[in-house]
Amino acid sequence: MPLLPSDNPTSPVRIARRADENALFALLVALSEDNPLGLPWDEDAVRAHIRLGTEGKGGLHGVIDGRNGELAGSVGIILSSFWFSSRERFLSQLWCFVRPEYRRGTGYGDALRRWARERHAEFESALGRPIPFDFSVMSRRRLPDKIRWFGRGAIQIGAVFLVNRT
Amino acid sequence: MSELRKVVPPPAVIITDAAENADAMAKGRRPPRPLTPIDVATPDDALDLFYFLRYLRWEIGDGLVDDEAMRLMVARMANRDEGVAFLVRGPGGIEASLGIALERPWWSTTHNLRVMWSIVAPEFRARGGHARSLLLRALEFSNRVGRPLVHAELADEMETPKIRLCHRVYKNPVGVLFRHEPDNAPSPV
Repeated sequence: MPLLPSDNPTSPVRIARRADENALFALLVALSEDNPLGLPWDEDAVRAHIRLGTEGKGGLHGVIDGRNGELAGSVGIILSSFWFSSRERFLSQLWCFVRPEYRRGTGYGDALRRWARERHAEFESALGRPIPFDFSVMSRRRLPDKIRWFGRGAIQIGAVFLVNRT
Repeated sequence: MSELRKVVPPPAVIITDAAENADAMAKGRRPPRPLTPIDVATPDDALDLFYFLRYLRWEIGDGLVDDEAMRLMVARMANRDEGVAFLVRGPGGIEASLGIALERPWWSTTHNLRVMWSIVAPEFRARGGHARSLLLRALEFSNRVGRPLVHAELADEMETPKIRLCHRVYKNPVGVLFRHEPDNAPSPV
């Protein structure tokens, strides 16, 4: 089920295309360095999830252009399944990241969040019924700050615990 | 990951709560309830486990659970096919269960363990012990397999009894699950 591609000319966020794949991968490498979560980073696995969006195969990723051909930020959304249901689907936000050097005074984080919410609304409208749009915030650094920021416009539905992390 | 194709726990290891008891006594608190014996589900348990989880489906996925998906997952766990289910058995059948599956996060090809469900039947909650025993068993399993264990517990705030219990057993949470509010909700930005 393809997600609906839609660009808003008033937003700095645009839809990621195939030509953005390398820049988006570089951005996600920066994300992994900014927020390492323990398990080894695998290029093929990450690129496969990038392509879900750039090839319109169940994903839609928004990107913001930065300087010199790099991307300043991105939000990645895919259509996922619950393990307990073969019918019900939900939207899953895999990442929402702005490079540290583009954070101050740009409003890029808010723009990415607004863009993701707009795509969610469009998808629900096309589907004709509500569909959950979930994400997790996990971090080894500044977790309370991140929870506060990501919690704006979202409701908490759970807590994540991790033991024996590498 | 061939060594993890079948997650077969070795013979049961006795988990003691001696340290917790000593800690509680030192702090002048009542010691925690004794641990409940935990069994590993076998293929013979699959049907009972399916009906147990089906009975409590509102606590797993807000009732969105469907039989087909549930049956597949239970069969996988009962056969220890990249997962395992722990059970608390009682005279009337299963009283509590915790299921763990191998999974790969989207950015990696390395597996971790994920708690898929952790449920005590309502009639056995007040007696205590089951939930904590299951979590300790999950922790011990993660230690033994040598893989990180992720437990995402659904709750709309951090002060529910279940979250507090996870906090005590696993220590600090590493994150929060969020759901975007519907678009007709007030914009945060």
